Amino acid sequence: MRQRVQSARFTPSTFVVALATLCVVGALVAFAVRVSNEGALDGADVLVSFGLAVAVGECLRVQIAPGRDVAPIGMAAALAFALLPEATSGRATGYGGATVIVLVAVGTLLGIAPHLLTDRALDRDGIAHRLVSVSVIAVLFREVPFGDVPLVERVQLWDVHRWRVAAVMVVAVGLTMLLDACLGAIIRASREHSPLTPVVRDDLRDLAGLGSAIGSTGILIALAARPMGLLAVPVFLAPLLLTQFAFRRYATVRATYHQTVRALSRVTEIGGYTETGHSLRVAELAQAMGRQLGFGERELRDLEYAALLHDIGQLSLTEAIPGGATVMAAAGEQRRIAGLGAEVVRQAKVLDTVATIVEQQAEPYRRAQEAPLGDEVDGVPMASRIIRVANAYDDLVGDVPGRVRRQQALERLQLGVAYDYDPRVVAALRRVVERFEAELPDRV
Amino acid sequence: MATPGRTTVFVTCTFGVAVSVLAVWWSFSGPRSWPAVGVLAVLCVIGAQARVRSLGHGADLSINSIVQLTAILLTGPVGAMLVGGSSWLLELGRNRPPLRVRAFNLAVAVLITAGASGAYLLVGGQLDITRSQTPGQLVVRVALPLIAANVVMCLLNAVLLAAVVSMHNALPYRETVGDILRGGGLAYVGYGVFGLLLAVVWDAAGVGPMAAVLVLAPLFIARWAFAQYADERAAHDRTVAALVQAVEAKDHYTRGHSERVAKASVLIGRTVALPAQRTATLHFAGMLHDVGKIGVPTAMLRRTGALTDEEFAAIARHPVQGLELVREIEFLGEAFEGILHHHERMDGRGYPMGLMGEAIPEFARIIAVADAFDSMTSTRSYRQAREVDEAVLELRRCAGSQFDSEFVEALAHGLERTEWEPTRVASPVDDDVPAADVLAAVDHDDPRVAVPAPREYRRGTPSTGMTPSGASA
Repeated sequence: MRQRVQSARFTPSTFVVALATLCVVGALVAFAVRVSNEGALDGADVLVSFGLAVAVGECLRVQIAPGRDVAPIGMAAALAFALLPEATSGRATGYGGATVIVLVAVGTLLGIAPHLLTDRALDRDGIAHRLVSVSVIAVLFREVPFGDVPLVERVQLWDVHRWRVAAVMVVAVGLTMLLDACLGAIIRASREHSPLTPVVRDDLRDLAGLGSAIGSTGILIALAARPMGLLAVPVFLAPLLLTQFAFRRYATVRATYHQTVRALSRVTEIGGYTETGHSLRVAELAQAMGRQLGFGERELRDLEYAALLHDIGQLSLTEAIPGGATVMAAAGEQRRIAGLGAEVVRQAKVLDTVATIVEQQAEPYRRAQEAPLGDEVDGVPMASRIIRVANAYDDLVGDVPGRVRRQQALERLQLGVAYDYDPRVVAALRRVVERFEAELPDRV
Repeated sequence: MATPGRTTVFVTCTFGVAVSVLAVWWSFSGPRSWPAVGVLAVLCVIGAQARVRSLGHGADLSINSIVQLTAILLTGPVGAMLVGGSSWLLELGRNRPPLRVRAFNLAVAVLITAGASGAYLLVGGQLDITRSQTPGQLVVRVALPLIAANVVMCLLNAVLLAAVVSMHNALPYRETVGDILRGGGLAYVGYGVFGLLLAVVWDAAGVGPMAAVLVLAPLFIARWAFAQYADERAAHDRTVAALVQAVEAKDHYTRGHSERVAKASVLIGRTVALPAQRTATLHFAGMLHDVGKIGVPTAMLRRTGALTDEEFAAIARHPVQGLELVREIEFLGEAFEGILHHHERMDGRGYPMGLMGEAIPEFARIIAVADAFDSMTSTRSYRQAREVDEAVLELRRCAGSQFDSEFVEALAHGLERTEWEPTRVASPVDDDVPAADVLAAVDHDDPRVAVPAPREYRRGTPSTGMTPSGASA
């Protein structure tokens, strides 16, 4: 990990972190100037309530997927604080955008303190892009004049048709969340070496779920503070806690599922059917290649499960094939094991996509072109082509590490692109292997 | 005692009462705002349509109860009754229930809303929430009365529903009320707070119908996530079952063994009142207890006659190999011990570590009983499946020396309340296996023919310094 950071020159992550730092420093200066001009801020109760809410929310952040943290309560509180026109009926909030940014930064720092003490990994990128997004909405809503006054003052004038206030907030929050999702996606895409489009697509899907719950909670607090006062903060955040809890449970069971499949994929090696670590290595390679080739989160998961279970069909054989069902085994035998494996996976009834991928893994890439005229044959799924290449590569390299061996394996696969292997997949493998070599010279 | 006629009379009466209550109340004051009635009714219909099946009936009601409570505050009691009634009146779809059921549901929706409105007004609830000027007033005059209304709504729903259910299915009334309240009925009292939030943003904050979208979005998304969780959990269970089955495929006679051991273990766990979370873990321990057998050569599992020390050692390694396989699955926790020690004996003559008595982890003692029980009640190559009674007798005979008598009795007790059919398997039609070989194979789980451990093995080389976390031999 450290090596990776050192070898990076200028990544989106450093850019966003720098941007967030700039926002906070700028806001601090503006805040200091304002305090020295106008004396102490009034409405300390408002500041304390929202600051606490942000801190608690940051402390309770959850991981919804590996490497993806969200802080729904903290984000909702920050959005509400940026939008809030009145603390209670008739009592306008006098603070500006700088105060919002400073308070959210302070709250976030307080919230991550317990994590630092317990050695939990610091989600630096997540904190940075959340701060940038909050800065944007705070400045947009409280500083930029629309007509002659900023939006926050303008909406207080609309006493009839209050729904217009809600509509303006929905648009502002929608844009902010969109920006937040895109910043997160850009950072993640560069970290995971995958094209931007599938990552953005995944993040937008999350935005439709948890994101809309976060956004609507922020808006509700800002709107309900007029009749309810600061009571609105805990009362509206509580349901979001329920939502967050539901998402955490979902993420936990997904992680458990993943661990189980990973662990049980090793039955083939313990049973002596495959080399030690073969399934795990093939799965890791396949995933990295899938990312290169623009797979989204769901496709990656199916690909990983299929790669882990690609040799499971061997369990149905009474005795192991000597040397395993490697690339050296007869094509017919490979195909038979793929079929048996698909049958096993299909028993689960919930992994049909995975079963299809396993089934097709022994098919040569150009099979479709051999089909007799008029006989419709679907192409081999991309995931199956990836597993075919990753599996062959791991068999060829075996447990003899070394650059020469790897180059030989790649060359041999290159020879197969005429019929067996998809040239794009082999190219992706080459890139992945080169990257692994650069990052971790002792491995692969 | 229970006749369909009685049910019909009851439904008709309920419907009549509901209509009269609505009519009488309407003569005093009608709905306050017709547009609000319309919007809320649409929400109610959507709520009734968009059911998440895996959450059960109690949770289905909650969305509608939220909308009905909101309707009391926004449109007055009569408006709320109309809103509540609308959802069942408009219930469409392919599996539309018969008219009688719809009439009853409609009547219940109207009556529980009427009851809730009554309770709300009785404890001093304010119908026009914009008159509450301070947050304190809002709590006393709106929030607390609304909770009372919600409780009454929940109770009234259970009382009416139980009447028709107990009549129709000839069940005792009191227990049916209890069942309905326990089965999620009480949970929806908590959801009442959403009703308040919706009314506040709609009316007091002046946002109007748009409030419904904002307030209900987090709720719908939470429900969606819970449903996803339920699906994923089921998918996990099925995947484990499929992979375990693939491991079992090595031996024709043990097909389904792990699943049955898991079932019997859970039966024991329930009888000794293990908490739900531990029972779930026990289920996985049972499912995975023999997964290490994949490391034992097939020929040895189907071995005829006596085993050499080496062969025995290979068989005796399977709990350790099983543990090694699943060790990375964090949530299993206590299940690890169950898998590693399921062949220990109370007298200390078991394997792999030769633990004795209470030193054997609880899960292992449970699985040992379930394991032997299933082995005896299943057909093996060398004998037919035994009857359940016979197997329990045999377990009792070995209780104390091999099995923990507490769990033997728990299984016997549990079996009295469940149907358990011995598993009879036809001879394999597997071409790969010579029939003679199969006929002589011995099951390592069968207490009658338990593989005798050679002397020096019992002192146990593998047991030296082996802990669950460090087991990798």
